[in-house]
Amino acid sequence: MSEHPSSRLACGRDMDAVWDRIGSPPDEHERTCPHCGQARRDLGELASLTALERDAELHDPALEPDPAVLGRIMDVARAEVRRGRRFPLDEPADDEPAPELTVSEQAVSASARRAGDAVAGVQVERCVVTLVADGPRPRSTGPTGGFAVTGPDSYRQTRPSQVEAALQITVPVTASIPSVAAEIRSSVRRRVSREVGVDVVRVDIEVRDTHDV
Amino acid sequence: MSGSHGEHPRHPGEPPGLSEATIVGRAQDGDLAAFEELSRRYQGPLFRLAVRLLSDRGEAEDALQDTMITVWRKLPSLTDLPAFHGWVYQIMTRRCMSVLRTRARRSTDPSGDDTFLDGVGRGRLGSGTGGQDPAAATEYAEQLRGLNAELARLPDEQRACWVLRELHELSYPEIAFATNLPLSTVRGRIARARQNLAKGMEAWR
Repeated sequence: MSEHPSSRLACGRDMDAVWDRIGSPPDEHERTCPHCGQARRDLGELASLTALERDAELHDPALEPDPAVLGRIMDVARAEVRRGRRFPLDEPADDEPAPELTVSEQAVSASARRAGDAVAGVQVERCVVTLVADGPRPRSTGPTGGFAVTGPDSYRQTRPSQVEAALQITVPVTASIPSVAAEIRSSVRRRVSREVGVDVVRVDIEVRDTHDV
Repeated sequence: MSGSHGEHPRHPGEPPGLSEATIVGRAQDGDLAAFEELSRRYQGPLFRLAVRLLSDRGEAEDALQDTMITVWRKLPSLTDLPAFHGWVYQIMTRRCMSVLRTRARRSTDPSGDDTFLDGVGRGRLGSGTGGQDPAAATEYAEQLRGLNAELARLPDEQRACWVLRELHELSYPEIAFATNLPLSTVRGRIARARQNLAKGMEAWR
């Protein structure tokens, strides 16, 4: 079967054009052209039935999936989020390869996103957080010299892990981008530190679009 | 709300507030609530598409589940957030076409119930023809049944292109993307499907 049927009418118009205009009153050419008139009649019933079918599908309970399907989809998504990457809550010392406490990358990202959303009019599209692996070494504090301590009082003077956050945002058309960016940076640092307990040392902001208020 | 530059179109059913691109971005970051919102939003349209293409409720539900899990896993690789709509349709369309090709290789009849959509159409008499007299309503219902029967008779590729265009209102480029066909082939298949349907409907008058 040909994939390119001849759909040119004798008057030179294409059936596609007739179909595209089928929901509108005939234009000047169509009012007088017998070929277009016939084509409109031929396609008119199909067009009205198609429109009815399109509308009816939307409200037909027989064409809704079993609610259990959504449950199964979300079960898989939840299981895979739980297996996602984890950050150490505290920066590990050189002699301590395995961090004791961790937080999921997704939890850090969600906290930073909420912080961005909290700034008036801002919507965070994406937020990616990355661990700063080679930040400046932790300060050495306390009577024991900080990180080298082990033993019963081994809750050493540790430093929270450091992360960088990159946010892609949309802002109101009326927003002053420098002031919004400053507010977001402050909000992200404060909120992530409070909610998750890691330090955000850098916040990159990309304004992707503007939106109406 | 949508992007003032037209880059973030809203889709039917999208509540005011967050644009779809924003919800997609959040789901990319692993936000389960955002992904659930996308799944709720698309499960109906995708299921209806699969039922049309596969004529089998069970297989359509499997296709929906596989599609949304694929969406979840591949979301981080989607760079153009506003293209999500066409991308989801592409995954579902290709999944369905793969099922149809497997059926064809087995050279068996479709496992689907050919009368499934007939039954669906019959249930719509009241809502679609309110105010008409019973005879006219019956005739209209019969014509709708005819449309569904003729649609089911179309070759799979024609039916897929037609359904994506006329029932799901995808653009020609979106359909070309979904079916992995050149734009000219998509136009040809839709035109051919239209001719076949119009001709087939004559018998139902």
